[in-house]
Amino acid sequence: MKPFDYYTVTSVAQAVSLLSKHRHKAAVLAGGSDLLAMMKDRLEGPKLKLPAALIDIKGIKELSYIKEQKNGVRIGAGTVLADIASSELIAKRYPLLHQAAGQLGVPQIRNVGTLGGNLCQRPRCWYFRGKSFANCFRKGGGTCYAPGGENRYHAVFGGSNCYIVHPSDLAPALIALDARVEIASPKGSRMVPLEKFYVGPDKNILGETILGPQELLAAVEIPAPAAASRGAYLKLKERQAFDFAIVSVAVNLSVAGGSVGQARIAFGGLAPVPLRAVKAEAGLKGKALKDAIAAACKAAAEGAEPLSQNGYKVDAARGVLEEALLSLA
Amino acid sequence: MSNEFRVVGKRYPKMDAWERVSGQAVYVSDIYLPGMLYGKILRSPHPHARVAGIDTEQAKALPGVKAVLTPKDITDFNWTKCPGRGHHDMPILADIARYAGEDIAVAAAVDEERVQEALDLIKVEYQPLPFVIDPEEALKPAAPKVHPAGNLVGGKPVVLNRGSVEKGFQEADLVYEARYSTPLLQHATAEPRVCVARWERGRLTIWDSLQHTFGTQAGLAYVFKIPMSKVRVVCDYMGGGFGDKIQMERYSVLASILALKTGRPVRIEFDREENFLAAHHRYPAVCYLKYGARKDGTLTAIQAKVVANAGAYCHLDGAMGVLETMKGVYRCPNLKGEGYTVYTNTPEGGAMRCVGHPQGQFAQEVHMDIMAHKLGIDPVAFRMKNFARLEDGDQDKKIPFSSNAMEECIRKGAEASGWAQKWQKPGTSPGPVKKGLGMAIHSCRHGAMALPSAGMVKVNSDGTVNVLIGTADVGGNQKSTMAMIAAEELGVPLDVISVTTADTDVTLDTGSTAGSKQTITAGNAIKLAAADAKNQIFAIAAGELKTAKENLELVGGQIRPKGSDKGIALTAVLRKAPATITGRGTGSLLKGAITHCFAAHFAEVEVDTLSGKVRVLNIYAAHDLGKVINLSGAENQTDGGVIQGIGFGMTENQLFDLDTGICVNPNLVDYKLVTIKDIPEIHIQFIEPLDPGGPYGARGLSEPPYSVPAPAIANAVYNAIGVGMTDLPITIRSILESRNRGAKA
Ligand SMILES: Cc1cc2nc3c(=O)[nH]c(=O)nc-3n(C[C@H](O)[C@H](O)[C@H](O)COP(=O)(O)OP(=O)(O)OC[C@H]3O[C@@H](n4cnc5c(N)ncnc54)[C@H](O)[C@@H]3O)c2cc1C
Ligand code: SF4
Repeated sequence: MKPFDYYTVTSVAQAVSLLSKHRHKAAVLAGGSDLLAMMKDRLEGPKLKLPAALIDIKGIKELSYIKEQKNGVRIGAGTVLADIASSELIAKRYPLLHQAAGQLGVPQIRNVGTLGGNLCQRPRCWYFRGKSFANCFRKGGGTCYAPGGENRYHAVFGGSNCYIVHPSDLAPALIALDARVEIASPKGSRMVPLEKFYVGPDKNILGETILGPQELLAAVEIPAPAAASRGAYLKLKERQAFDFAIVSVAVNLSVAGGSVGQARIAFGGLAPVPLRAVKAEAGLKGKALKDAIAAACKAAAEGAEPLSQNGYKVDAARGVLEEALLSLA
Repeated sequence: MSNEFRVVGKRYPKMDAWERVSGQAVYVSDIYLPGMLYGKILRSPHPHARVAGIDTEQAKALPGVKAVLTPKDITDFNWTKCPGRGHHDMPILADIARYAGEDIAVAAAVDEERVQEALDLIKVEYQPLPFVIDPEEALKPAAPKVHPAGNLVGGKPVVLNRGSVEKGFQEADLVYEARYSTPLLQHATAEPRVCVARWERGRLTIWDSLQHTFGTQAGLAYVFKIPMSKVRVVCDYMGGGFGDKIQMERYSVLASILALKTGRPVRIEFDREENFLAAHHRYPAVCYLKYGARKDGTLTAIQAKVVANAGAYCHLDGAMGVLETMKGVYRCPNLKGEGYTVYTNTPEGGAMRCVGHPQGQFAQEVHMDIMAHKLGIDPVAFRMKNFARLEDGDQDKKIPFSSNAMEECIRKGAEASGWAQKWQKPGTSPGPVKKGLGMAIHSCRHGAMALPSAGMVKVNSDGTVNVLIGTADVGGNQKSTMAMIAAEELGVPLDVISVTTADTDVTLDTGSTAGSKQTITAGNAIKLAAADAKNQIFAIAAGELKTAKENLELVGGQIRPKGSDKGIALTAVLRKAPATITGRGTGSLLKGAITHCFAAHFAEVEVDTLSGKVRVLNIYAAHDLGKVINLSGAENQTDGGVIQGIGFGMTENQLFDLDTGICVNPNLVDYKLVTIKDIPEIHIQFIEPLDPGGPYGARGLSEPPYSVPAPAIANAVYNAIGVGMTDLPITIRSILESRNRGAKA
C-alpha cells in the first residue's frame, strides 16, 4: 500500500472540516472493507487517485445507532451492517431490510462494513477494479471495456457509456422503503431521498452519488411502514454467500381489501443506480396482487438493453420479481 | 473385516490438527529469518511483447534495495534441460513476455514496500506483439505465433487408435456427436507459492511450499552446478498444493539466485493476484465427441478430438490427459483419439487434482447421458453395460486391472440416491422448480503405485518411533496415514509415533504428493520399513526368549511368544540392541496388472426455472479405493474433492478479456469458489476390495472425488430441464439461456 496521512476524528463537524481542507485528496474511512482493498490493489486512473489522506470516522460515536423515532427509524451511517442484520426493531418493522442485510456478503464483511460505506461503496465492474484497465471512463480514461468484453454481470438498463451495476444490497431495499439520507457538510446538513442520492453515468461518470468531496453521509431515515404493508427482498447470486447480486429485488407493498394500495419496487444488479421499477409498480396498484403479477413482471423488463453476454439478466429480473410477488400474494 | 486391524481402517483425528488450528504449525509463509530480504517479481502487463530495453538504474539506487536482476544478469546459471521440470520452453526471466503476468525482472529489498517501490522504478520498454487467447483460434494458420515453431505443441497431434471407429459407427444404431468445453480453474491453495532461500558456506537451504522437495533439490543442484548434497529443500507444513506445486518453479530459482548474490536469506511469496496470473491452473479443454452404440446399449465406437489450452509454455501434454478418460473408463473395441495441446498467450496450464480427467469426464459423462436418453435406456443400466471390467484394464496392451469394484460403486450409489424410485425421464419434472437426479462414473490411474518408494522407521530406546518419509504432507493427512501404517505394522500405539516429512537431508524420496499415490507409494515403503524394524527387534527378543522370531508378537508393549502371556518389555529388548533400530523399506511395482480407482456419483438437484438458480441437494459418492487405511482422512478427501468438484461444475471460471488479453477476475471475489452454504449433504460410501499392490490392500483416493460431481450435477440438471449441459460452469446464465433454447426447440 502507498503511504498516506491518517486522521481520526470524533465528531461529524471535525470530519467535514478536515474533508473540506483536503478537498479531493482525502477519503472517508469507515470499516475500510472496500476502500482499503482498493488502496491495496493500487487502483488508479487519469482521474482516480489514491487518497493522500484518510479521515477515519469510526471514532464518531454519534454516527452509530438504530433509533426509533416519531415517523420511522433512523440509522446512523457508522452503524455496522451486522447490527442492522440482527436488529429486532428492523426485523419487525422492515423485514425486507432485515433480509437484505442478512444476505449481504459474509459475516466478516457485515462485522466491519458500515451502512454509510455500503451505500457509498465503489462499483464492482471488474475492469474498474482491474489495475491493468486504467483507461476506463470511470477512472477518467477514454473507453469502456464492457461492451466488447466480458460483460455477463454488467448493466442491462441505463448504461450508455458505462455499464456498472450498483453493488449495494441495502440501497434497493432502502429505496423500496422510501428512505432518505442526511448529508452533512461544513455548511450544515440536508435531507435527500436515497433514490436521488444516486446518479447514473450520464450525470457523473466519476462517481455514483451526489456526495461532494467535503460531504459526509450521516444517517438514513426510513418512514414508518404503511398500514398492511408487506415486503420481500430476494437476491439471486451464483453462490449463497460472499457474492454480489446478479439481480436483487426489493418489494414493498401495501395490500388492503384484496387489492394493492402502494407499491415500491427497486432492483439491484441491473443498472448503474438502484433501479426503481416504476411501470411494474403502476401495473400492480389497485389490482388484486395475484392477477397482476404476470403483467408487472413483463413491464419490469421493458426497455432493457442487454450487452453481448448479459441478456439472461433480463429473464432473471422477471424471475426474481415474480418469485418475490408470489411470496407476498 | 476391520477387526483384523488395530489401527488401519479406523477414524483418528489428523495427527497435527491441533498445531494447524492453534497457529503453532510453521508453514513456509511463517518463516522469517534474521537479515532476510523480500524478493518480488516484475511481471509483464502485456500478453505478448518483446522487451526492447530495461533500465534498472533508479531501482538500484533506491536505499534498501539490494539487488535488481534482469535476464542478462542470470546467464551463468544452468537452466535449459533442467531435470524434474516439464517445461523446457520457459526461461527464468523472459525477454519476450508470452502472457500478461510473465516474469521479466526481479528485485530484493529490506521490506515489502521497498521492493514494490523498486519494481515501480524499473523502466521497461515493451514492444507489444499480436496475441492469441483462444486455443481453437491459435490453431488457425494466420494466428499469432506464441513460439516460433508454431502453436501446436510438438508440431502434430497425439493420436490414439484401437480397432476401427469406422467399423464401430457402421455397427451402431445410434451415432451421436457434440462439443463440450470446460473453463480455466485455480487451485486456490490457502497458501500461495512461497519460499525462503538461504546460502551458508556454499550450501543452499530452501524452505519451499512444495509437493515434491526432492525434485527441487535436483533442479537447484543443476541450476547452481553444485552437488545435490549441498542443497537442502524442506517443506514441513503446507497450505495445499492440488498440483500447483509439483515441481521446481522459477520463483524458487530466483529467490536462490537473489540469496546468492546478496549473501542474505531471500523470501519470495506470491500474492493472490500473482497466483492467478503466474502460477499454474487447470487448463481449459474443448472436446468433440462422436460415439456409436447398439440398440441394446453396447458402445461400438468412441471418437474424441481434444483441444487443450497449454498456455504460454507446455508443462504437460494436456490433451493426452483429457483423452485418458475416453481411453479407459469404458470398454470399447474401437477408439480414435486426437489430441491438440495448444500454446496461447495465457498463463501456463498445469497439473491440478486429477489432471485432465475432470475435463474429459465432464464431456464423456454428459455425452453418455444424452445417448442413454436417445437409446431409451436408463443411464445407470447404460453405464453398467459399458464400464471397463476387471479384465479390461489397459485395453490396448491387454493388461487387466489389479482390482475393480466399479459395479458395486454404481449399484450402491444408485441405491443410496433412491434412483429406482426417484429417477424420471429428462424434462418431465412438473412446475417451475424442477427436480433432477443425475449420475456419472469415473475411473483413472490416480491412486496407483509409483517409484521411487522408500522410507525409514526408527525405533528409539524408549519404544517411541520416528517415521522418516520424503512425502510432503500437502494437507491431505499424509503424516497420519504413515503413522497409522507404522503403528499397525509394528504393533505399537499410534501416539508413540512422530513423522518427519519432505526434508531432503533426512528423508528418502517417494516422488511428489500427486497422482493420489502416497498412501500406496509411501505406504508400501513404510510398511516394509516397519516390518524390517520389527524383524530386527524380534531377532534380539528371540534370543532372549529362546524361541524362533517368527513365533513372536508385540502386544501392549510386551514381546511374547504368540498365545503366551509371558514375555519381555519392548524397551528391555531395545536396550539390548547394538544401535538404534532402523528399518528400511523399498516398495516395488505390481506386475501384470494396472491399478485404477473407481467412483460413481449421484447428484440430486433442484432447478428454479424462473430465476435460473440451481441448488444441489445431495451428492451420493461411492468410491472404490481398495482397503481404507485412514478413514477420517479418506472421508475428508472425498468431501474436499466433492466440494471442489462442485466449484468446477457451478461457479469457478477464470476469464480473459479478449481485446487486451488480460485476466478480468484474478481475485477471490470475482473468481468464485463455492462457500459452505453451497455444499449439500455429501453421502459417502467406500467399497474396499483388497488390492494386491498396496499396503493392506489399499489404493489411493484423493483425486477421483473431484472428477465426478460436475458431470453428475450436469446430468441432474439435464434430467430436470431436459436440456443437456455442454459447457461448464453451469450458472444462472446457462440455465436461463438453456431454458430459452429448450423452449424454442
Ligand atoms: C468480499 C466482499 C463481499 C461483499 N458482498 C457484498 C454484498 O453481498 N452486498 C453488498 O451490499 N455489499 C457487499 N460488499 C461490499 C460491502 O458491503 C462494503 O465493502 C461495505 O459495506 C463498505 O463499508 P465500509 O464501512 O467498510 O466502507 P469503507 O470501505 O470504509 O468505505 C467505502 C466507501 O464509502 C466511503 N464512505 C464510507 N462511509 C462514508 C460516509 N459515512 N460518508 C461518505 N462516504 C463514506 C469511503 O470513502 C469509500 O469510498 C462486499 C464486500 C466484500 C469485500
Ligand atoms: S462499465 Fe464503467 S467502470 Fe466498467 S469499464 Fe466501462 S466505464 Fe469502466
